[in-house]
Amino acid sequence: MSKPNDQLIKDFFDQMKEHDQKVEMPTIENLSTPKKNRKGKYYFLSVAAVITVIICAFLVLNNTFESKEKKVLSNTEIDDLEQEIESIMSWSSATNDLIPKGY
Amino acid sequence: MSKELLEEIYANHHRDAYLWSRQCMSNSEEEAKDVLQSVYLKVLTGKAKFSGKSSLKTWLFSVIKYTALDYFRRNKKVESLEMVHNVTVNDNESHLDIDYYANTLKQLTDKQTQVLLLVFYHDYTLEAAAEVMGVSIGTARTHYDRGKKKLRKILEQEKQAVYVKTK
Repeated sequence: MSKPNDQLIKDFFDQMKEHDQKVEMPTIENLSTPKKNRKGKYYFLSVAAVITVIICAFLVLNNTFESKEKKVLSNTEIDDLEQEIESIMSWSSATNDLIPKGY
Repeated sequence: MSKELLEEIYANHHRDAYLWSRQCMSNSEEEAKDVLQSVYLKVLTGKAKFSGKSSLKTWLFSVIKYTALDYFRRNKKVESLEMVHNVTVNDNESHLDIDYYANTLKQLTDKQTQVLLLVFYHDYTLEAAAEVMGVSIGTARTHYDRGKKKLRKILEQEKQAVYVKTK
C-alpha cells in the first residue's frame, strides 16, 4: 500500500506503535466496572437532594392544611357570623315578598 | 454464540480493540475503557451482530468507531478548532512526550486521522479501512491521500525545525 515517499509517515506510525507497547492493557474485569459507580457519588448526592426537597415540601404543605383544618372560632367570631346569617335571612324574606306569586 | 464471540474477540483482538478505542477517544484511557465496555456489552447482549461479511477485526473496529461516536454525541464533547490547531513541537525531546503522536494527528481531520491509523498503524487495506469508517473506497482514498500529504508536510517541518536548532 505504501510508496517509497511514504517512509516518513511509516516511521511516524512505527514509532507510535513502539510507544504504545508501554500502554497498559485493561483486563475484562477492569472494564466491567459500571460507569455509574465511578461517577456515582454525584449521582447519589443529587438524588438525595431531590428527595429531601420533596419531603420538606410535603411536610410544609401538610402542616399548612392541618393548621387550617384545626382553626377554632372564637365566641365573638361565632356571634358575628350568626348576625350576618340572620341579616341575610331577613333580607331574603323581604325580597321574597316583593316577587309576585307564580314566579 | 454471543459469549463465544466475545471470548474470541477477547483472546485475539482485545489489544488492538483497546488501542483503536483509545485512538477514537483522543487517547483518553477512561473513555476508551467505557467505549470498549459498551462494545463488549453490545456483543454479549447480541445488540451488535457479526454477519461474517467482513473479517471479525474489521467488524469489531467498525462497532468501536460507531460506539465512540455515540459516546461523543451523548457527552457533547466538542473541541474547538483553535485548541486542535494550536499545537507546536519545540524540540526533539517532545518525541518522548506521551501526547506527541496525538497532538500531531490532531492537526489532521478526523477522517484523515482514522484512515491513516487504520492503514499504517493497524495494517488494514484501504478497502477494509473504508468499511470500518463506513465510507466508500473513493472517499477513503481522498482522505488517505490528503491526510498523507498533510502529515508529510507536518513531519518535514518538524524535521527541519529540529535540524535548524541542532545546527
